[in-house]
Amino acid sequence: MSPPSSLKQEFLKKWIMGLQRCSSSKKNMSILERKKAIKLSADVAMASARNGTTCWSRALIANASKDSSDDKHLVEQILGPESERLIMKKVPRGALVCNKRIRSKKVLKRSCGIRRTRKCSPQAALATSIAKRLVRKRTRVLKSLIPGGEFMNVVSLIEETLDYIISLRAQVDVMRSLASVSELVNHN
Amino acid sequence: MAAFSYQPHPFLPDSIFLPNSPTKVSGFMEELEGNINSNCFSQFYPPEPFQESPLDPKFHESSCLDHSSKVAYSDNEPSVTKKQSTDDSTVVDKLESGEQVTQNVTLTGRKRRNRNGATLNSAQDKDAKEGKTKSQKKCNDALKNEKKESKADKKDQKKAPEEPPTGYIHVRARRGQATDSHSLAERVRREKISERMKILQRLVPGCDKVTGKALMLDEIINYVQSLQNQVEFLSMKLAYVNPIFYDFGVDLEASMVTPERVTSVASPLPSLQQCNSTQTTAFADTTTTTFAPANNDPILDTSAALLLQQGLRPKVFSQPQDNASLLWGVEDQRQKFLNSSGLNDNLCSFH
Repeated sequence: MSPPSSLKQEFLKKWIMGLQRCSSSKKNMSILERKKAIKLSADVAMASARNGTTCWSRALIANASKDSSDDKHLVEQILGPESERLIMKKVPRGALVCNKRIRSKKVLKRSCGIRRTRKCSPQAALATSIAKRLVRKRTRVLKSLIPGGEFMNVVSLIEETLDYIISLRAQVDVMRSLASVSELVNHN
Repeated sequence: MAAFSYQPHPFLPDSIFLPNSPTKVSGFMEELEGNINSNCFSQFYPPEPFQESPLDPKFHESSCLDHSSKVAYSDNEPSVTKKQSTDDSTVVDKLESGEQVTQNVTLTGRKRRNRNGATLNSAQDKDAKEGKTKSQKKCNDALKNEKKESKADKKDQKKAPEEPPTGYIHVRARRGQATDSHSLAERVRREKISERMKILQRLVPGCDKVTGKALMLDEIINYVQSLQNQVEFLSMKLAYVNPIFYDFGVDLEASMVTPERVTSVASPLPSLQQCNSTQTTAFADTTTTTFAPANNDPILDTSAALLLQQGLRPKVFSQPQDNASLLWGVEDQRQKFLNSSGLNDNLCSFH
C-alpha cells in the first residue's frame, strides 16, 4: 500500500515552503542546524498535510511549538497563517491528568494481577499472562513512538499508527528522491 | 491470538480528555449525578449513535433540574409507557422535543422487554436486550442507580463503562458465549482491535507470516522505528549534500516539477540560456503552483535533477526571489515546447 501521490505532492509543496521560510530567517547555518531545520519542516509539513484530522499530527505540531522550545518561531513561520488554528494554545491539562490516572490504575492492576496469577498456576494461564504482559509492554513502546500516543486508547492508537506509517512512508519517499537527485546533481 | 488485557477504566478518562472527543461525552460525564435522562438512555434500542446530538444541549439544561423533578420524571415513566406520549411535567419542558425521540425509542424498547415475545419474535427480543446492554451509557453511575430503582426486572442492567464512546453498537451473543455486558463489550473491543491489526498487517512488510498480537506489534514497532530513522538519515544527507546553497529552499524548490512538463524537458536548455542573460523579474508566486499527480517517481527524479542543475546556476543572481521566478519562467516557456526526447540525452547535453 504505497502512499497516494497527492499526499506526497502536498507534503513536498509545504516542505519547500517551510524550508524557504526557514532559510530566509537564518543564513549560514551549520550542518546540524540545517539538518534540524530540514527535519522539522518535513515533520511539520507532513503533519499539516493532515489538516488536524488525526491526533498524531496535532500532537506533533503542538510538541514542536511548545513555548519552551526554540523551534516555536520556526514552526509558526512554516505553518504561516494556519498556525493559529493548528497549534493548540491551551495546555492539555486534562490529558496529563488522564495520563497520571491511567498510570496509577495500571500500577494498581499490576499489583493485583500478580496476586491473581499466582493463585492459579496451570501452564495455559501462565502462557496467556506472559503473552498479555508482552503485548502490554509493546503497546507501551508503540505509544512512546507515535506522537501523542500516550493519551490514546488501544483502538485509536492502532488507527493513528496506520495513518502515521502511511505519512512516514510518503515523507521517506519524497526525501529519498530529493536526496538522490541532489546527489546526482552534485556528481555531475 | 492473545487478547489485550481488559482495562475498563482508562477509556473513560480518555474519552473525557481527548482533545478531539465529542463534547457531548465530557458534558455527560460532568452531569452524572443530576442527569434525569439516564433512564431513557439506558434503553436505547436502535444503534443510532447520532440520535443523541440534538439532545446534548438538553442534557446540560437537565443537569440543573433538581431531584424532585427527577423523581417526578421517573414516576411519569410508567404512565408514559402506557400512553406512549411525551412527558408533560413542567420540569421537563425543555427536554420535551428532544425527549420525544428518546421516549418513543425507550417505550418500544421497554415494551419489548416487558412483554416477552408477545408481539415480537425472540430474535428481536434478544437483540433488544443486547442492544440495550451495548448502548452508550455515558452517565454510567447515575444510570446504574436509576435503573435499580425503576427497572428491577431487567437483567442486563450492568453498565458497560469500558465502551468507547463512538456510538451504539449492536451485538449479538453467539451460541455458547457469555452474554453479560462485560464480555460482550470486551468482545466488541477485541474485534475492533483485530480488525485494525489486520489492516496494519497488510501495510507493514513482513507481517503476513506473523500471527499473534505480540509478534505483530513487534514488527510494527520495528517498522515505525526504521521509518523514523530513515527520515533522520535522509534529512542529514540533504543537509550535507547542499552545503553550498545559499538558499537551499530555492534549490529544493527547483526540484518541484509536474510530470506534464517533464516531457518537454529538452527545452529548458535553450530557454535557460536566454533567461540567464535577461535577468527576469518575478513571474509567478511560488505558492500558486499546482501539481498534477506524479505517478512516476523516476520521472520526478530525472526532471528534478535537471532543474536542480539549473538551480545551481543562478549563483550569479543576487536575490533569491529572482531565482525562484526564473525557474517558473523556465517552466512556462517549456510548456510551449513539447519534446519527447530521451531524458538521458538532456543530461548529457548539460555538459
